Amino acid sequence: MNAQFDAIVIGSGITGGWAARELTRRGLKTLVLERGRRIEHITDYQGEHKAPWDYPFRGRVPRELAERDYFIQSQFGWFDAYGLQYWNNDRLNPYVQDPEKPFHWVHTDVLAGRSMVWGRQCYRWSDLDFEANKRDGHGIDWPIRYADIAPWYDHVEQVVGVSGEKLGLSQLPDGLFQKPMELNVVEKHVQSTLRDQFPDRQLTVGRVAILTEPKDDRAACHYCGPCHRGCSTKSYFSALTVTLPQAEATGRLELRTDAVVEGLDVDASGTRVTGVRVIDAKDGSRTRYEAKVVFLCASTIGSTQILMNSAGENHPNGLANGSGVLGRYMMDHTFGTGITGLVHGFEDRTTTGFRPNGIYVPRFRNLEGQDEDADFVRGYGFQGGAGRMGFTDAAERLPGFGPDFKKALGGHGPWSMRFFGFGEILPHPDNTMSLDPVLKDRFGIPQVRFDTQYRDNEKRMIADMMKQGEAMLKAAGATGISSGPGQMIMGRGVHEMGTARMGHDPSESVLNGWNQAHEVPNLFVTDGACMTSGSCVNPSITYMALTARAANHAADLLAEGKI
Amino acid sequence: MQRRELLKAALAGATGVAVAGLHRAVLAGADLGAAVQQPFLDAHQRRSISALAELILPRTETPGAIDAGVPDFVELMLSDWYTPEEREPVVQGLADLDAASREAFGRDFVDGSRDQQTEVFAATEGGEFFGFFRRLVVLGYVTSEPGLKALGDYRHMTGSYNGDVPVSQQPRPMVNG
Repeated sequence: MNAQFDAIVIGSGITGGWAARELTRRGLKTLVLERGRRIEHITDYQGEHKAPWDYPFRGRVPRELAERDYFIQSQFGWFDAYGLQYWNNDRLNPYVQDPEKPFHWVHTDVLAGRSMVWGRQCYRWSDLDFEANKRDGHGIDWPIRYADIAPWYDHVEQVVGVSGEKLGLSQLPDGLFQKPMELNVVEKHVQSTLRDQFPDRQLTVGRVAILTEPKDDRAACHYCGPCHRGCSTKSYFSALTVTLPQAEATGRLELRTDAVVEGLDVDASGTRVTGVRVIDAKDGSRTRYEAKVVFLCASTIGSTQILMNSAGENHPNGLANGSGVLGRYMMDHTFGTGITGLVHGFEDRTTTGFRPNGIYVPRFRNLEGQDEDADFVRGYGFQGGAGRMGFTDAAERLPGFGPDFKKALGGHGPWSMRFFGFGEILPHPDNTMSLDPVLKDRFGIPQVRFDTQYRDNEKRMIADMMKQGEAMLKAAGATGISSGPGQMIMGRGVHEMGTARMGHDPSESVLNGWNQAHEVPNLFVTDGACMTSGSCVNPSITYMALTARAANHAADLLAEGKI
Repeated sequence: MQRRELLKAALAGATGVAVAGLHRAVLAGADLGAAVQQPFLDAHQRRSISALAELILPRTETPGAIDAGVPDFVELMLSDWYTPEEREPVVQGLADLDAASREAFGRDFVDGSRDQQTEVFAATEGGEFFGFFRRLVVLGYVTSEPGLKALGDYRHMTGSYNGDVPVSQQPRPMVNG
């Protein structure tokens, strides 16, 4: 085949960057297509190290603009004026949702995608996760186990740079870590409380893709705090600063931004992708690119949308969808469940610097079979942290006004400790995305529509999070403990997963154990769409490992002439 | 160089701390009131807001609300952030202060002595207006350069994190905005 490129990677974020890096380093001429606009390291970090007074609304996006153009994104916690340039415009890029069952699609519209603004938490999966579906019967069995992916975790962690503490836990395997960030004095107090009173639980500092030691051309973190504005010292991992430049350095990378993929073409037999159809986001012009192998790394929703919109004669229900499961089994992590309380006895202690990371309490529920007192399957972890309350909180607590009020505002507030639960959402066939039969976007591509919701297992798990979180804070001597389940809106965890799952059997899965489409062997899907279950840990490092593994497998197959 | 050019240069070159500092200085000196898109306050209301903001956070050994540009911020928020319905408690509250002051002292709130203003405003504590207005003033103060630097130890590049520091060594909370 006389293709323009050896490989085309659709998407340039967490996974697209990795596919590009691996494929180019294996000698393949690779085109990366990104639908968002091009941004440059440093030049486009407009908000880095800015102060609130640099913005008329003090770091808030003007409300009228937020309500008109960012009505979904603005509900996400890190949406602010300092990083506005990264976020998707919801008015220009609409989707369809049922107000009774909302789905919040939180995403960017720039080169390197959500790797610019991600939470950076990195936790390996274990066989507790890979065997979960087989064990309890929700979803289908994963075609891989921890041993298959472990070397690829090593591979990506060495490039990403992950700081963290080794714990020797079977449910949360250790990785190749730089030295961990430091817990603060109250977090250490809670840690020792758990050690004494909850021997099944541990508290550690977050394992995070932020350097604590210099690496390559990247500096250790300078603790300014808000990573999501961009980092001129490249201390946190992003595709923009690590994988894409490393791909570019091979001389085999071609990058096109503002390139909206409409669909994929297949040959007459329907078993080979022959082309990628692209619409230019700026002028509407159309181009078709050809390659020997195509990697879909356009994000869970983006990749499945492209597969669905590539339906044709041999694939009437969407490309590679002979099984009929494409678009089904959408997952996320439960998000927004919070437990908080005031911790006492440390009034004479404070912190300096702004640690862009929190604590982690690894999963402790249902580890050895089903816990007797658990009315749910699978488990959850806690993130969070301790800190002294700030000025605006003080203003709510303090009475009066005038000189005394002003003086009291300035002191160190009470210490508060917070836990935020992240729970596994079961793969359910009726949590779906599909293409709207009528509504199209500005490129003429059918809009995505969602039909998803939290179900009973998630709700019972959330009730347990609050119960266990409150018990731990109580044991630490906290007062004023309060908890809330959160809004329970799918998508809010920004860990959307599934819809093109991996599996052994082509009749019930889209992809095989190498992220390769059963029906179209030169097509790989390596972003969150591939996930067969969700675990309770942040998914990005697993997506990266799966992508690197799949890309090297694809390079092997090409070398052997098998695809 | 004109202010507009300074701003443009500052926005274009986010790389240099010196340039960012310049941008900050330009904005700090700028009259944010001039940036209000949908002005609705009259001169009397503006004077009342200034007096009330300064009453809540007066100049002491550190800058007060007026020094920190809080009245302009309050006007911006009332004009361009809140809807007319949402800001109604403030508009009504300001009128109520005048009515109460006239009844007690025979003059509008803004024309009263500090003690008279204190007495009139204190009587509203616990109500919607008091909470709304005080919250807005505090927000404007702690997000202004003079205010944040007065209350906290402002840093945007600390270089390290220390999770256990005696308050005696760090009497003011370290803040990054």
